[in-house]
Amino acid sequence: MRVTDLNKRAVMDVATATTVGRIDDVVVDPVSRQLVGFSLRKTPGKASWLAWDRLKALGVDAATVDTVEALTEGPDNDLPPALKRGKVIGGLVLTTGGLGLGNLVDVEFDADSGTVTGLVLQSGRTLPPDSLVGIGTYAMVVTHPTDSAG
Amino acid sequence: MIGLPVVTLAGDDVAEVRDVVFDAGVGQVLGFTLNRRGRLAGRMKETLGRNRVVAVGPDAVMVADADALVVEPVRGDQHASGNVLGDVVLTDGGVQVGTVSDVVIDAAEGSVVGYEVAPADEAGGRHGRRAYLPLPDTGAVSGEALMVPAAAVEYITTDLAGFGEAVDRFRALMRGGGS
Repeated sequence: MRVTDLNKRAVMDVATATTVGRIDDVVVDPVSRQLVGFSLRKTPGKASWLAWDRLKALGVDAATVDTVEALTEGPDNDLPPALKRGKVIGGLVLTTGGLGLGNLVDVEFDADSGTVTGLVLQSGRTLPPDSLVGIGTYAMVVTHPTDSAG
Repeated sequence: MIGLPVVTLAGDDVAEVRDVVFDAGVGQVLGFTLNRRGRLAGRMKETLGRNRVVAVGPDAVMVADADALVVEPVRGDQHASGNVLGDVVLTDGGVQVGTVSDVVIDAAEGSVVGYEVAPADEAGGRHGRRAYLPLPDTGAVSGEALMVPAAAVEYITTDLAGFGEAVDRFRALMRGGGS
């Protein structure tokens, strides 16, 4: 699954069968290479953060939660910029050697585990997840493609 | 290199290159003085020593984290060091070739392989034309002027891609001529 596929996807509360929000953005932890959670829009209250571990399922048509209580006001700790609003998607990808590889267009992940499986570049090239080093305000930093190939 | 962002491995830009400080004696980059990024641009007290640099690439200078920037002058051990940018380039025959507008660095070794030179005969209104001058194996430099052998002028190239070849040819000539 790709992160851009999640845009505006409904989050359903299975206890009440109502929509409790729509996915607006995604945060990825570059160290664990996991999706950390989602920021939502159109939530019933102020709580608009859905941590990955509070998610029940991420299906092709909707994400589900057991209860609206799964939503919180925000992540507790310092997280990297969100992929969309932090302009990580559409932003620069830089190698640890200081070479620009162009822009990031998408992030592929496993919908069951939330594990990042690929970084899709504008050139059409997809970098392996273990090339990811950092996600910052200026760039996504990756190891050089040839470095991670071996 | 001037204006190149200094980026942490976490992907944050923490500064940009203001000037390159190098060791005149051995042609080694010692480090960089820095400017702030963005709207609050201006000189930073912190500098970046060469030993704290992870890599110098065409698009960024990479550092492990913001702690790489420290408030201390970038110094060489033995040789006079200084800022070469803006120096007059003078041949040993006493002809002014131009002024140094940038430094070309071997990113792998951190050594200076040449200089970008704004030609002396360039009219103020004309801009954009820059020449590349290979660094002689021995060439005196101070904060005032960069001395080059007159032969080096023959190897000035306006093509940065062909610069490496020009450096090799010139160094071979200097070594051959000296022995």
